[in-house]
Amino acid sequence: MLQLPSFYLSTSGMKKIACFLVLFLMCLPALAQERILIGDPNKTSTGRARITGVITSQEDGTPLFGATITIRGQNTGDAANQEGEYRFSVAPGFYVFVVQYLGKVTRAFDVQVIGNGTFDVALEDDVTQLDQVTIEAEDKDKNVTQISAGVQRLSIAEIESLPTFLGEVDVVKSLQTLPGVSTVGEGASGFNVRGGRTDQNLILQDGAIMFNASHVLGFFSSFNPDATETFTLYKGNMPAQYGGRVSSVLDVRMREGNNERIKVRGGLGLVASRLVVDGPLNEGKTRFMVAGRNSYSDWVLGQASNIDVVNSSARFHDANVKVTHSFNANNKVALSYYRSGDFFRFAQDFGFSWDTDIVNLSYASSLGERLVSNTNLIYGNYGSTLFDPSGVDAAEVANGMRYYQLRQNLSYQLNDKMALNFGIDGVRYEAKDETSIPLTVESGVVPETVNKENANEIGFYMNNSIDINPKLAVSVGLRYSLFQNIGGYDVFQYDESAARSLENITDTISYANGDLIKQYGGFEPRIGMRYKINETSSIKASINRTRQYVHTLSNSTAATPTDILQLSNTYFEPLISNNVSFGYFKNFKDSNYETSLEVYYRDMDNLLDFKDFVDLLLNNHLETDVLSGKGRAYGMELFIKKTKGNLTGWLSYTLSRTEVQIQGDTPELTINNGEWYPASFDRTHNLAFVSTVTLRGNSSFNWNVTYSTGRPISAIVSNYRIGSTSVPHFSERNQFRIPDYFRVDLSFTFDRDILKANIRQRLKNRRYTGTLTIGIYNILARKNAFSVFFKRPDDFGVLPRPHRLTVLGAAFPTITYNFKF
Amino acid sequence: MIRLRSMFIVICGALFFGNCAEVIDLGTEFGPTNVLIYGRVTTGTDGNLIELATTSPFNAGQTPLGGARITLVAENGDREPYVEIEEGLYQLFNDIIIAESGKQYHIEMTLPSGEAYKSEPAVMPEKKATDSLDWVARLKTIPVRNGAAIQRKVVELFMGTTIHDPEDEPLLRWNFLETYLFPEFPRVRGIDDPPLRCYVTNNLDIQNLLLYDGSELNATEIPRRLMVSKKHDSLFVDNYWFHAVQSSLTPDAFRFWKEIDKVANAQGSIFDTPLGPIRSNVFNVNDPFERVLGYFEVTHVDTTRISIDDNDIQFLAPLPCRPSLLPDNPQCLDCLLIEGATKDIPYWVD
Repeated sequence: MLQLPSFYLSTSGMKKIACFLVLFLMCLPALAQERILIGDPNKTSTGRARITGVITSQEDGTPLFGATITIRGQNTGDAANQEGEYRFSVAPGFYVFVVQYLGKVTRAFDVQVIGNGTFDVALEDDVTQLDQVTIEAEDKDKNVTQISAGVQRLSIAEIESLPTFLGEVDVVKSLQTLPGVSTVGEGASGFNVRGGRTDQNLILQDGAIMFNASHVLGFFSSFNPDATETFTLYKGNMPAQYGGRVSSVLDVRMREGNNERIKVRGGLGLVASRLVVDGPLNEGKTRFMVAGRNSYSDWVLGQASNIDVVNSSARFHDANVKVTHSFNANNKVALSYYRSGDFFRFAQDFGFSWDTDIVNLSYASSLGERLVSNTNLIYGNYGSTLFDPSGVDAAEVANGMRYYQLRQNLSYQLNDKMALNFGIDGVRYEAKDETSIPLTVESGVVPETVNKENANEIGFYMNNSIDINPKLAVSVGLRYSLFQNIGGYDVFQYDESAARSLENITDTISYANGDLIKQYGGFEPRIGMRYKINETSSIKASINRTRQYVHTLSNSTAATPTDILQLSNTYFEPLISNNVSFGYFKNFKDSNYETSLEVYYRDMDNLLDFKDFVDLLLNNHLETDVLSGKGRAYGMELFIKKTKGNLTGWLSYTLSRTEVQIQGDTPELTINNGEWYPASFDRTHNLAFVSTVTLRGNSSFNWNVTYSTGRPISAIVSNYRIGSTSVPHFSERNQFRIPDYFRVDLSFTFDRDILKANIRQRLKNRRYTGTLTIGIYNILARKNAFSVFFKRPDDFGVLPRPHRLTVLGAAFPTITYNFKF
Repeated sequence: MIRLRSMFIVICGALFFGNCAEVIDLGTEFGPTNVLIYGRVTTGTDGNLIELATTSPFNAGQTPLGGARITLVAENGDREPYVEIEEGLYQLFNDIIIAESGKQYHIEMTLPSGEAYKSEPAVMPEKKATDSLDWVARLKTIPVRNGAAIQRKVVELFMGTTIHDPEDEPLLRWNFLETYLFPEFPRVRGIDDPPLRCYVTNNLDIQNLLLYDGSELNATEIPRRLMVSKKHDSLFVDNYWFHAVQSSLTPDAFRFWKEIDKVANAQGSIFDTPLGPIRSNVFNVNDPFERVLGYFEVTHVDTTRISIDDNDIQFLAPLPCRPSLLPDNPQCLDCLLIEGATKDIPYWVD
C-alpha cells in the first residue's frame, strides 16, 4: 500500500499545493523546447517555399475539412479542403505553425522552413488535451509518452466485433474489460472505477452530464454505438476541466455529420435496432447526424409461457440529433438534442420508467491566433418514476433532476509547446420534488411530496502540461469548485447532544426560494508526471484531489432508476477524494505490445452509507438514515495489449480492495463496530482477456474471458426465535462473499472478405457493406451468481437458506447484422 | 410496497433461463454467539415474560440462559424482579408494578457471568384501536395439479379494526392464537374420573407478522379482512377459540418488528433493501457496541376473542381419537403430551 505524504491530507497542505500550482503555471512557459525542420537541408532555398500537407483526424485518419493551419504573427495560412489538403507558401525562416479544428486539440509546432516540404498533421480529439504537445511521431508509443496515467481509451471499431449480450455493442460493458473498472454484476446499472461507487463517475455526452446512462435496468448503456465517435475514461486522474465527481470521468463524444455525402449505417439485433443517417446540407458548411435506437424486447417477453411475463413490458429508445454549422474556418456552432427513455412494467404489479432529455448548444471560435474559445450551453432533464398500477398500493413515486450547464473553455497558446487551458464550468441543479400520487380511487396511499433543494456548482480551472526536458514532463492543473445549496427548503434542526433522529428534532428552519442554505468550496489540484526511461518505457505518477457535491443515495445492491439524487446540504458534506497513482509503462517489439503496471491509493471523506433497513423513498429526513464515514481503495492494475497483427486484444488484471468505515459515537451511528468493511462492489481479483483473430479482411473470431472474485454480502450466521417467529441473524456488513464469477464468450464476425473471390470481386464497387456477427454469450453456461439472497426454501422449514440468483445462467446465442452505405 | 423481485423473474423467465435461484453453501456455519433476550411488560398481568438465551451458529438453535437477575424499573423508581420459572424463562408477577399507559419502564439485567445489561427506557403506549372478529364455515374450491378442483371444508376467520384517532398515527402489531378443546379417548380411571379435556393453545401464522403503520395510512377503519383459513378438522370437534392479540407499539418497537418482518420473510432480490443485524434496545452497560439480539417491549396489549361451537358449524368434525388411532397417538390417552396443552380452564372461558 502506498503511504501518503503527511502534508497531503491536511487542509494547510492543500493550500500550499494550490499556491505552488499557481506559481508553477506562471513559470511554465519558459521551459519548453523542440523544433521541426521542413525542407531538404541539402537544397537550401532563398525564394519562397511551398508547404503542403494533409490534416487528418488522429483517431480514424479521416480528413478534417475546414481545419486551419496558420503562421503565428503573419497573415498566412490555409484551410483544408474536403480531402484535408492544404497548401501555402512562405519565405524560409523560423515560424510557429498553429493547426486548429473544432473538437480537436489545437496544436502548435515550432518549425524551421528551409525549402519546399510536406508537413502532415493529425489532430486528436479534445478529450486528451493534456497530451496536446505530443507530436505525431510519438503516437505509436503514446501510452508511454503521454503524461497522464490512468487514461483508457477505446474506439467503436475496437469493440464492435466483441461478443456482447444479445449482440448489442456497448460502450460501458466494453469499459468493464479494462483494468480498474468493474461492475456489481450482469444487468446492473453503472460501473465502478478504482473503488468508486457508480455515482462517483462523471458521465458526459458531448460535455453534458448524464445521471443515468443505462437501458433495461443496466443490461445496455444508453450510448448508441453507431452515433458514438470516441469514449475516454479517466480513472481518478482527471484533467482540471472535469469536476463534480471523485472517481472517474467517462467522456463520450458523439459523431458529427460527415461532409462528403449522405451516409447511412445501422444494425439489427435480437432486441433492438439502430439507424444513423448523417451528411452535409449546405456544401458541407452545415452537417447533420440523426441517430435512433428502438427496442422490441416486448416481443421477446411475449414468447414466454408465464402469463405475467407475457403481460409485462420492457422497452427503451434513444435518439440523437446533431446539426453542425461552420460559419467560416474560425467559427462553428453545433446544436444537439438527445433523448433516452425506458419503460418497464411487470404485469399489473409494478413498473419503472426513466427519461433523459438533453439540449446542447456549443460554439467554437478562434479569437485571434492564440486564443480558441469553446462555449457550451446545456439543458438537461432527468426523471424517474416507480409505479404500482393496481390494488390498495396503486401509486406513483416520481423524482429527478433538472439542470442548466454553462461551460466556457479557453485555450491559450503560450508558445509552440504549451497551451494553457482554462475556463469556468457552472451547473444549476434543480432537484425535482419527490412526489407520491395515488393512481386509483381505491388506493389507500396518502399523496405526499418531499421537497428537494436546488444548488449551484461552479468550477474555475486551468491546466497545463510541459516537457521540461526530453525525459521529464509534467501536467499541472488546478480547479476551484464552489457549491451553494439553495432554498426553498425546510431544514430540520437536531439536538446536537444526541444522535440525529426524528425524536431529536428541535426546530425547523424554512428557507425561501433562492436563499443560500449552505456553501462549500475548495481547491482541487491535479498533478501528473512522466519520466521516460527510454523511448519505449516510462514511469508516471499522479496526485490529485477531487470533490463531489451530487450524491446518489441507494440502499440496494445494484443501482436502480429510482435511486435518489441528493445534493450536498447542511448535513451531507461534499465527498472529498485524494488520489495517488504510480505506473510503469513499457512497449515491446516496435509497440506491438503495450504493457503497463499501475498502483493506486485513494482515500475518501464524507462517504455516505445507509443504516440497515432504512427506506429512502419519500424520506424528508434522510440525514437521520444515512451515515457519513471514510473510504479507502487501493490496488494494482496490469494491462497487456497487442495492437498489431492477426491476433490483437488485451489482458487486464486488477488486484484491489475497497473499504468503508462508519464510526459514530453510538452503536446506532456505527456500522460494523466502527471497523473497516468491504464495499458492496469490492472484488479482490478482476481478470479480463479480450482478443480478436482477424481471419480475412474484416472478418474475425473474437472471445472474452472474464473472471472476478465474488462481491461481498452480509450473510445469515445464526437463527433465533422471537416469540414464535424464527429470525435469521445477519452478520456485520459485507463479511461474506458470493461465489466467484467466470464467463467465456465467443463471436464470429463475417463480412464480404469471407466470400469467394469471384463474389468479392463482383461486390467490390458496391457502396453497401454489411457484417454479420454471430456469437455465444457465456458459452460454458455457467450459472454465475449475480447476487446471493436468503429465503425460506419451499420445502425446507422456516430457516432461510442462501440462494444464488443467476441472471444469465445459460449459454446465450447472439446475432447482429450491421450495415452501412 | 412493490414486489421488485418479480423484475428479475421477468427477465430470467423471458429469456428462458430456467431456474434463476438455487440453494448454495456460503460457509457460514461458524457464526458468533450472542445474548438473546425477548420479553415485555404490558398493562395487563398476562404474558409479562422474558426469554433469555444465547444463540448458536446458524441452525443450531438457541440455548436457554438461566441464573440471570432481571429487574423491571418504573419511572418512579419502583423495582420488581422477573422470577425465573424455568431455565431461561422469567416472569413478572406484578406484585409491585402494574404497568400503566404514559409511564416509562425499562429493565436491568445481570447475567451469571456478571455482565450487566439495560434496556432503553420506553413509555407505555395507550390503546389506539379496537378489533372485531367473525367467522364463516364454507366449502372452498381448491385447484389441484391435473386441472381439476376439490372442495375442502374450511373455517375462515375475519377481523376488522376501528382506529380511535388516526391523528395519533397508531403503530400496531397483531399476532393470532387458537385454543381448542382436545378430548382424550374414554378410558377407565376411577369411577369419578371423566375423560380429561385439555385446552390446547397454538400460535397461528408463526412467521408472518401483521403490522399497521398509522403514519403511512390515514384510516379510521381497517376493513374486515381474512386473517386465517383453517381446514375444518378434529380441532373443531368441540369448542374452538380464536384470539387476536393487538399490541400498541412504541416507534422503536415498531421499527424492530418491521425489521424482523423483513429478515424473516425476505424474498430475495438485488433491489431489496440489504438486510443486516437487527438492533436491540437492550445493551451491555460496559460495552454498548456488543451485539445483543432481541428486544424488551413496553407495550399495550388488547386481546379480542371469538368462540366457535361445533354445533354452530354445519359440518361434522371427525373425532381426534378413535380406537384405531390409539397406538400411534399417545396424546389420546394423555392430552397433556400435546405442546401448549393445559387442563386448567382459562380465565376467559365462560
